[in-house]
Amino acid sequence: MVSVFTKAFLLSVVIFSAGIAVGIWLDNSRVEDFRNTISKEEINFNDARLQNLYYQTISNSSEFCDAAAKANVDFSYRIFEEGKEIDRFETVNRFAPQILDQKKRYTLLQLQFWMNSVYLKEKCGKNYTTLLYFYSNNNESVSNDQNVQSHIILDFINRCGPEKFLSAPVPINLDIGMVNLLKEKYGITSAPAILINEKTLLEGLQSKDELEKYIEC
Amino acid sequence: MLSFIDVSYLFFAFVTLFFSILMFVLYHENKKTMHTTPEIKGLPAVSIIIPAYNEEGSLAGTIESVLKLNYPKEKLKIFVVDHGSTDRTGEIARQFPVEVLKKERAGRESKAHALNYALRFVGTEFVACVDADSYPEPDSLEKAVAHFTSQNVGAVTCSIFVKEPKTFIEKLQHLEYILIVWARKLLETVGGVYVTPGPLSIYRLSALKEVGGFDEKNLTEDIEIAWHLMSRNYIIKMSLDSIVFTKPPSKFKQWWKQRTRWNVGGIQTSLKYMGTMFKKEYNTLGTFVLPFFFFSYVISVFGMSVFMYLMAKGIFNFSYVIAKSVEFGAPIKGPSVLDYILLPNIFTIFGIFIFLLSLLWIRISLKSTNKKISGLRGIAEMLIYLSIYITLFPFSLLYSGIEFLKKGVHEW
Repeated sequence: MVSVFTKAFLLSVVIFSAGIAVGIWLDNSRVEDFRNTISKEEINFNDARLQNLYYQTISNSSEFCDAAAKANVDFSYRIFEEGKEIDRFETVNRFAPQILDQKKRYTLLQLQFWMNSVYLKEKCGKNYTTLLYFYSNNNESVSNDQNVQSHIILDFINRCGPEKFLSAPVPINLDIGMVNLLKEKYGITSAPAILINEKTLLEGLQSKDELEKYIEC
Repeated sequence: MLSFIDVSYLFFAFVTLFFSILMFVLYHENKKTMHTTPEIKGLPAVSIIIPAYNEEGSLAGTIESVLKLNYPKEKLKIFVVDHGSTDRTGEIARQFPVEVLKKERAGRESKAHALNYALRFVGTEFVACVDADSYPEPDSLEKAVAHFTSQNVGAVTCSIFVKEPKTFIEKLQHLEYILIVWARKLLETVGGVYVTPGPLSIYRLSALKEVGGFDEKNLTEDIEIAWHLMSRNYIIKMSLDSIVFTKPPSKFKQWWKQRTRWNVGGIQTSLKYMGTMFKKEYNTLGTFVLPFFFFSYVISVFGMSVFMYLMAKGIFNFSYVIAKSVEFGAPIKGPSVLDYILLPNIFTIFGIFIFLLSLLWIRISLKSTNKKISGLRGIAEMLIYLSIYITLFPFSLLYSGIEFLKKGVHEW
């Protein structure tokens, strides 16, 4: 006859395993959601780039600038919020390490968006500020500073609007070639760091007043 | 992806789950016999000892309750030990048809001294001990003695409930006592009754004499005697339908002092019987009770440490972000609790599951002991019990451990 202790242990193992399985399922389903979201954004971004190419090669330049700027602005509305969403999911994620691959995909998308914004700024003579926000998601000692910094940047996004201010958050610890290139080119050694208009690098937590010197709404 | 804290949490969740499920399994397998009282041919003679030290406020009520017991008067002998009282305890006791034993209180003598003193005068096969602030129900004794079904039953404990809970902390203890009663009855089925509490416990005199009576150096003589009996292979039974009411501490400070004493006594007893750990010859004391005690100590302190670390970290981070937000001109945003609800993960799953199990356990315990907690106030008390009251236990245990190390036993 099986003792009550054995029964309780076996039942505990079954329930505990079921709980772990549900946890794994939840984490994986969220990663799957990201994958879908990122795929949609990649489609949108490629669509916008194709339209740009069309206007550049077939149609006239003024039409190109208006249409491309509009597509870029639409994209920027979503990209920062979705980036925050991924970070939140990453915080609660325990069993789906593949979330990092999705984050890399998203980072590449954000860098493409930034490059596109820089390109349009020069090609079409647009007057907006571009900002890259470099952060680290595996360094707990700076997570509070980064938390404050992202609130300040979000505040600029809300106040200035995407016509005047375009920004993209970039994790520096995911070993992405393009990010490493930027780190080397601009001498970024720590997080948080901010690159404004591809010229000015500010390292460490920056106050709202300090950023206002560089960002015009 | 799993940090040390994550693994600790999962381990803690598994252990909690195991003990919760163990109780449910015990309930499932024994629910039909929980309220069964064995049939007995003729009631045996019983001596009742009421040790009293400055109990003028409650002693009369206790004696009246004992005198109202449905038990043949010729088979009942009542002793009140006036243990060096400086109030009217002795005078009150002498107003009743009981034998008053006067004992001087030398230094820090404990209740065990009073009980052992009274045992010298006991000539019956069974002896019941009743605290001087407790009130046995009329049928409690006859139902309890019926559980001495064989010679190896060394003691029988009873269901202890809070008498007329009024203050908030009394109401929380009311719920706690109900849960303890029910858990103790279930533990009886695996030989795990680890205490014969003071409000009402009945002993076989020969068993008491075999172990040399109560340990006068122990702060919790009711735990020590139970373990001592178990170490001699005596069984301890629990009579669920034998009810006794008692007055618990009515203020937090008294409660804390009582819990410290219980914990120090528990530690003291655990150390004393350390040699029985995992040894089958000591029956369930070695294979279940002692490992359970030590495991609960470790888990409590470990769980509390992790909890404190997370709390301290959360408070520090929150304060830091607020201060830096003010300094650097950022919009002030606190942590979003919604994030944790809208984004459930493995921790929230186990947290919610264990919380629901606890609620179900409370419901079963209330039903099984014929008690009710109703209305919004009752629900609030239940939630406060689960969310705040039980989180005080590890703090109390840690404090007691430190006090034990600092003072030893003799200064209590």
